[in-house]
Amino acid sequence: MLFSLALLLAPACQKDLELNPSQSLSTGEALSDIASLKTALNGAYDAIQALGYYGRNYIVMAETEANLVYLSTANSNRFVSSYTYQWTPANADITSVWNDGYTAILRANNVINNVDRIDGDAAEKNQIKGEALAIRALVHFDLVRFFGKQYTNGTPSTDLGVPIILTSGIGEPARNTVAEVYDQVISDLETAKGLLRNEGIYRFSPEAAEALLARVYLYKGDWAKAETAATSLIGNAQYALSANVSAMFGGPGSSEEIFTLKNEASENRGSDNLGNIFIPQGYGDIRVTTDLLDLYEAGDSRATLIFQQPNNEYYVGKYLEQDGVVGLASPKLLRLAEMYLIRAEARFRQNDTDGALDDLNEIRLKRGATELMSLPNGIRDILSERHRELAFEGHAAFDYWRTGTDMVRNQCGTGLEVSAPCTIAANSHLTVHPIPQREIDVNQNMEQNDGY
Amino acid sequence: MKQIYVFCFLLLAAGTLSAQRPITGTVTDESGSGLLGATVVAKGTAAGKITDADGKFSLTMPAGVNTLVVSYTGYQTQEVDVTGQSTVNVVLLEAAGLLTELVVTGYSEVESKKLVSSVAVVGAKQLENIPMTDVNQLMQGRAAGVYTTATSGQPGAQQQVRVRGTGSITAGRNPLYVVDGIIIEQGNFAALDAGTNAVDVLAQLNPNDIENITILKDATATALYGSRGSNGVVVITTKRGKAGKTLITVKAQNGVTMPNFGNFELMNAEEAWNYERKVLANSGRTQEQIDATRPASMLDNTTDWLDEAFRDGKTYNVELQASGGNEKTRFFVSGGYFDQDGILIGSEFNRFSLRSNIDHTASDRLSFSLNLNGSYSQQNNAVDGNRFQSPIASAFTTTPLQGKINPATGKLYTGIENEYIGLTGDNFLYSLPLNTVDVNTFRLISKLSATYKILDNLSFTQNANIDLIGVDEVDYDDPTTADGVNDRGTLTTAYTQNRALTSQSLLRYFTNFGQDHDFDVMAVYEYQRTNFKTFNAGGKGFASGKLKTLDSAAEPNFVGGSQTDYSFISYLGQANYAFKGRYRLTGSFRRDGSSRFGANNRWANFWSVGGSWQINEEGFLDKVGFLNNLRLRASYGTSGNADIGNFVSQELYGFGAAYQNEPGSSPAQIGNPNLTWENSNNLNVGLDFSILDSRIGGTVEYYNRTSENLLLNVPVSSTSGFTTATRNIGKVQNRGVEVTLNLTPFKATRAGGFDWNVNFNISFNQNEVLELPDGEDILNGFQVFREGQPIRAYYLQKWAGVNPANGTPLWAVEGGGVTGTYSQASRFLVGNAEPDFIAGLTNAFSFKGFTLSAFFYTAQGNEIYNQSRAFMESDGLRFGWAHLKAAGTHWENPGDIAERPQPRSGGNNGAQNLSTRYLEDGSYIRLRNVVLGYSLPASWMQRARLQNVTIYVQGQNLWTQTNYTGLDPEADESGNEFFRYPVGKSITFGVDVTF
Repeated sequence: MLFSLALLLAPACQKDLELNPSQSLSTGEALSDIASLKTALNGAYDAIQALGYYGRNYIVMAETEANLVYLSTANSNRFVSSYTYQWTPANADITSVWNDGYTAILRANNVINNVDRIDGDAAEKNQIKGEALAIRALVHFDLVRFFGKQYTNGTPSTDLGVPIILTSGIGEPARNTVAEVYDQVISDLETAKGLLRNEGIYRFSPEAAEALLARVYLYKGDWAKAETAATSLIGNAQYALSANVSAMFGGPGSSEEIFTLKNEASENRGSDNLGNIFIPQGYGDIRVTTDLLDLYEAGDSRATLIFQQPNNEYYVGKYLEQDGVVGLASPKLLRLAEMYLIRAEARFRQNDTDGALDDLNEIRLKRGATELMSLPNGIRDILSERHRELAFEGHAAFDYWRTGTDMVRNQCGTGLEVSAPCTIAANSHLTVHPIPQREIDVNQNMEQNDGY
Repeated sequence: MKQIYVFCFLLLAAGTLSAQRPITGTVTDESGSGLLGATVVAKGTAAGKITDADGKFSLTMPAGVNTLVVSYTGYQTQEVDVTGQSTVNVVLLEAAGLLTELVVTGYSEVESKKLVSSVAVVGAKQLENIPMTDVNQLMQGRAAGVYTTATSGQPGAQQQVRVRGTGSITAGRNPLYVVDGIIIEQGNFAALDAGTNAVDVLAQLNPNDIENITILKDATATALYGSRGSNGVVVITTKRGKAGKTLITVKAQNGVTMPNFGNFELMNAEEAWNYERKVLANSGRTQEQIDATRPASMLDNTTDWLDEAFRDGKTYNVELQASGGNEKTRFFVSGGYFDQDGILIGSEFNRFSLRSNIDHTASDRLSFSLNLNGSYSQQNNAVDGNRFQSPIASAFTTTPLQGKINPATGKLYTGIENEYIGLTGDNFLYSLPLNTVDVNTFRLISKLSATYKILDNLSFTQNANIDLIGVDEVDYDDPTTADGVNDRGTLTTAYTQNRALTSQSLLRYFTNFGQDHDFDVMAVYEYQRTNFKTFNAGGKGFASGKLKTLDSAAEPNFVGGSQTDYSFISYLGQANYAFKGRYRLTGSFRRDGSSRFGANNRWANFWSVGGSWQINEEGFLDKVGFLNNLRLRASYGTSGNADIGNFVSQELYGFGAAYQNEPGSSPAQIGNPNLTWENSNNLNVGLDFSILDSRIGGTVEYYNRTSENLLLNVPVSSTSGFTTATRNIGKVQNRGVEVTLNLTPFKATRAGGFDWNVNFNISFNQNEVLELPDGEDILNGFQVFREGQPIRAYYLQKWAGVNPANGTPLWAVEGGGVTGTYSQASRFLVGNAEPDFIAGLTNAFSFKGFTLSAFFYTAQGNEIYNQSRAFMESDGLRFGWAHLKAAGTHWENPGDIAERPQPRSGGNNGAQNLSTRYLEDGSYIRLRNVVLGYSLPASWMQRARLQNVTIYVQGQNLWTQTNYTGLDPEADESGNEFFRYPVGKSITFGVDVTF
C-alpha cells in the first residue's frame, strides 16, 4: 500500500540521483575548445611548478649533491639524504621528482592529443600544441638526466633512461634507453620550434625551444648542434647579458631571460618557497661553501649574490624575494649566459679554445671579473665558470656527471655541515638516482638502477 | 527482580464475589509521587476514572468485579485485586523495566525478549556525567564488539569507532549514526581544518540528553540501513518525558585534567647538550669545533618546552533538565553549558546545548512529537596539522637548549630570529596567543513526527527531519609570527553549511491468527538529500590582531568556495512472525539508490533473514528451575557501504591549478563507470542466557562478516600521471566472538543494602584479507595488503640490532643473515595494528547512599609504529632537536652490545629508517573511569523538599599499564603514532539535584 504511494512520489525524486560535481568537469568537456585547452595548458605549466620539481626540489638537489653549498648541522631535516648520498629507493624527494614529472607529462599529453580534434584558429592551435610539446620535452629530459646515466658518460644506446609517455592511460611501461629518450626530446623540441611564436619569456617560445635544444645537445655531446643552437640565441637581439646581476635576481623579467617559470605572489608557498631553503628568514639550511667562495676574484659582481650573516656563514642571495614575498622566486630556467657557456664548452670540445675563451670572457667582463687568457685546466676551467655563473640554479651535479668529473667537497667535515662523503666519483652508482620503490612495486616492467 | 514478583503476584491474583461498592485510592510511581491522569478501570467494565493531581481516584465497583486495571503511558499496566478492600494504593512501575525493555533499532522498537538481532545497548547510567565532549568517547569498552579510540586529546576532536573490525580500506569505516530514528551527519565539517580529526559535529550532542545508545551489529539490524549499514549502526535515543510529577534536575560539575605523557620522557637541557656534543665528537669534530657549535653558554638559557606547552585543563559543566507531563502531553527539556580547556595551551571547547522533546497524544488515533535540538560550540584548536604555530610538533621537538626568552630583548623569541633553533622557525609560546584558530559550530537537529492509527493494528507515521550544520571559522596569523610574516598578517574566514533533509514514511501493521501466530510488517519510504556548501575568503596586511575582520585587511588575498550534493532514495520492508512467542522469524528487504554511483550501478538491493528460539519456554525445560532465559538467535544478510566520495566514478578535470594568474585545469580523477557499492555478507549466531534469578546472565555471539567489492585506491604506475586509481577489488573478512556477562554477586535484599554488580565484555576479532586482484600484494606504506593477512599487517625491514664492532645498524636479510646497508634489507610481515581482543570490566557497588564503580578497559595484542620515537631517537640525524631520554644510552666502544647505534651527525647509516626498531607492543590496561557517589538520605530530602541530591567524584584514565614507550597507547587504527595531542587524566567533582 505504502509502496504504491511511494512509487507515485518516486519519479519526482529520481532526478535527484543524477548529481554532478560543481568543481570539476568531465574530461570531454574540459578539453573541448581553444579556451579550455589553454586552461589545460596552464595546468601543464602549473605541474612543472610543483614543489618536487621546479618549485624547489629538482633545483636544490642538483646543488646539494655537489660542492657549491653545504647542508648545515642545524637543519630542518630537508635534503639530508641528497647531501649525504644516502639514497633509498623509497626516498620521498626522488619519488616526487618522478611523480611530479609524469604528472606534467600527462597534462601536456592531454593537450597535445586533443588539440587536433577541436575547431579553432590554426595559429592558436599550433601555439598550444607547441608549448605542450616543449613542456613534454623538458620533463622527459629532466627525468632522463636524473634517473639515467649521462649520455656523455655511459652507453646511451643500452643504458636505461625513463619510459617515454606520449598518450594518457594506466600502463606498466618499461624504461626506454637513454638514447631513445634523447631522440624523443629532440624531436618534440624541433616540432615545437616550428609551431611556436614568441608570447613572452614566461611561456615556451621558439627561442626557448631552441635554447633547451642547445642544452640537450650539450648533454648529448653533439657539440656542433649545441654550438649552432646557442649561436642562434646569442645572435638574437631580443636577449642581452644583464649589466647588474643583483637587479637580475631581484625578480623575473631581465633582458637575459629566455624562459622563466613565473611564480605569482598568489602562489606563495610560505616556508617552502624556493628561496626559503637558503635564507635565514626561511629554513636557511643550505649555505655556501668555501669551494664556491674561493672561485670568485675581487670585483666579480656574482659574489654579491652571496651574503654573510652574523654567524660568519655565507648564504645564497639569488632568491631573496619577489613581489615583496620572502623567498618567492621565478626560476630562470633558460637564460642567455648559459648559452654562452654552452657555446664555450661546445667550441672547446671542437678544439676552438679561442672561441671558447671569447664566450667565457664575454660573461666575465660583464660580471666585473678579469679576462681569461687561457684554459690551463681545460674543461675544469669551463666548469668553474659555470659554477660562478649558474650556482644554485640546478646545474652543478649534472655538470660533474656529464663531464665525467669527480665531485670533490673541499669544505668537508668542518663541523658546520652534516657528515657526508667528501668525494663522489663520476663513475659511482650514486650519480644516478634510484627508480622510486613505489614504481618498482606497481610496474612489473620497471628495472632498478645498479647499486640499489 | 521486584518486577518479576509483582508479575507473578498478579498472575496469582484471583477475585471473589462481592456486591457493588465504592473504592478509593492513590496511584503513585515508585518514588511515591502521585500520578496525574492515570486510568483506573474496573476490569471487564466501562466503569473508569482518571486520577487527579495527587494521583487520587474514587470509583464505584460493579457487583462481582474485584479487579482494577490501572494504566498509564510509560508505565506497566497493572491489575490489582481489591477483594475486601475499600482503599487501595497502586504503585506503577516504569515500562522500561526488565520485562518490557525496549530496544530501539532506529525504524522500530523491539522488546528485548523478542530480539532476533545482535545489538549492544549502553544505558544512560553509563553515559551520564562523564566529563567528555563526544558521545563516542563514552562507548569505549561499554559494548562488546565496539572498538573506540581517542586519537586526539583536543576537546571536541573526533573519535575512531569500529564495529566488529575494519571492513573497508578506503571507504568510510565509521558506523552510521541515527538519532531518534533519523540518519544524521558525523565527522569534520570544518573547511580550514578539513582533513584533521580536531573537529567533530557529533560533539554537538550533549551526552546527558541521551537515554541510551544501541549499537546494531548483525545483518537483521543493519540490513535495514542497506547501503549505509555495513560498518554497523549507532542508534541514539534521547530522553523523553514521562507523565507524572515534573522532575527538575540541576547538574553541576567541575574538574581538572592533567597532562599524561605515559612512558615518553625527554632529555633535559644538560643531557641534550652532552648528547649533541657527543654526536659531534663521534663525527670527527675537533674539540674547538664542538665548543663552537655547542658552547657551554647554551645552558644559560634553556626551556622545558613540554612544561610550557601543557597545563592542567579545566572542565566545567552546568545543566538543567526538566521532564514530566500527563497522559496527553509529555515533555523533556534541557539546557546545558559545557566548557573544557584542553591540557595543551590554546585548546578549548565550549558548548551551549538546548533540547526539547515534546510528545502529544491528540486522540486515540493521532499522536505527534517534536524534537528540537540546537547547539552552538566554540572551539579553539591547538592544531596538530602542518602549521608552524602548532604546539604539538614544537613542544615535542624543540631542543631544550633553545631559550624561550630572547636575551637581547628580554621578551619571548618570535622564532623568526636567525639564531632561533626550532623545527619551524616559530616559537609557539609567542605565536599561539596571537594566531588563533577558532571553529564555531552551530547544529540544529529537529524532527517532527506524526502517527495516525488507521486501524487498531495499522498505523502510518510520517517523519520529517532537518539536520543543519553551520561551521564558522576564523584563522588569524599575526604579522610578527612565522606564519604571518610573509603576508604581513593574514586572516582567513570560512563558512560551511551542511543541510540534510530527510523524509520518512512508515506503515506498520500487526495481526495474529489465533493464539499462536503473531505477525507484523513494516514498510518504509525514505528520501534524504544532502547539500554541502562552503566559501572562504582571506585578507592580508594587518596592522593589529585586535581587528580580526576582513575589512581591516590591507588587501584581499583570495576567495574560494565549493559545493557538493548527494542523495539517497530507499524503499524498505520488514516482516516479523512469531509462533507461540517462542519461535521468531524476521526478514527485511531494502532497495537503495544513490547519486554517488554511476548510472550502471545506481540501485542496489539488500536483504536479511533471522530467527530466534526461546528455548527456556519449551516444555522439556519446565523443571529446570534455575533457568530464567535461554534464547538462540541466528541471522544472515547483506548490507553496503556507500560512504565514499560523492563523485568517485566519474573521469574528471579539476580547476585548482593556475599559471601566470590565469586558471589552469588538470586531470583530477580517472573514471570508472562500473564502480559500485562495497557490500558485506553478515552471519551472526548468538545465545542469550540468564540463570539463578537472573543473577548470572549474558550473551555469547559469533559473527562472520565478509566485505567484498572493496573500494581501493590501487597504486598504479605513476607514469600515468596518477599515483592511484579507485577500483572495486578484494574481499575482507572479519570474524569473531563476543562475550558479555552480567553478574550480581551480591544482591541487596532491602533498600540501602549492599549490592554488587559486575559487567564484563570481551571481543575477539580476526581480520583477514581474503582476495586481492590476481592475488598480488598491494603495498600500503609500511603495511601491506596481502591475502591471508589482516588489513593492517606491518611489512617492515627487521631491525637486527647494532654491530658490536663499530656501532652501525644491522637489518635482517631474507633467508638469514644481516646487512648494514638499509637498501639491501628485506621486508617481513611483523605484526598487526588491530588488537587481538578488547575488553571492558565494570564493578559497581552500592551501600546505603554510597555508590562506587570502577571501569577497566583493555586492548591487547596490537603493534604501534612509534614514529615520534623514530624522530627523537634518530642517532644524531635530527641534530638540534629534542631527544628522548633513552637515546642517551647507545653504542660507545667496540664490543658493546647496544640497543642503539652510535649517534653521528647526519645519522648512522640510515638507522632511523622504517624498521621494526620502532615497532612496539601497543597493549594496555587502563582504569578508564571510576566514580564514587553519595546520595543524601531521603529523610533530609523531604525536609528540604528535594527529591534527590547526589554528589560524586569521578576519575578518568587515572591508571594505565603498558610497555608502550610513546605518549599514549590509544592509537589510531593506522597504527602510526606521530606527535599527537595526548589524552590526559582527569578528576571531576559533581552534584546532581532533583526537585
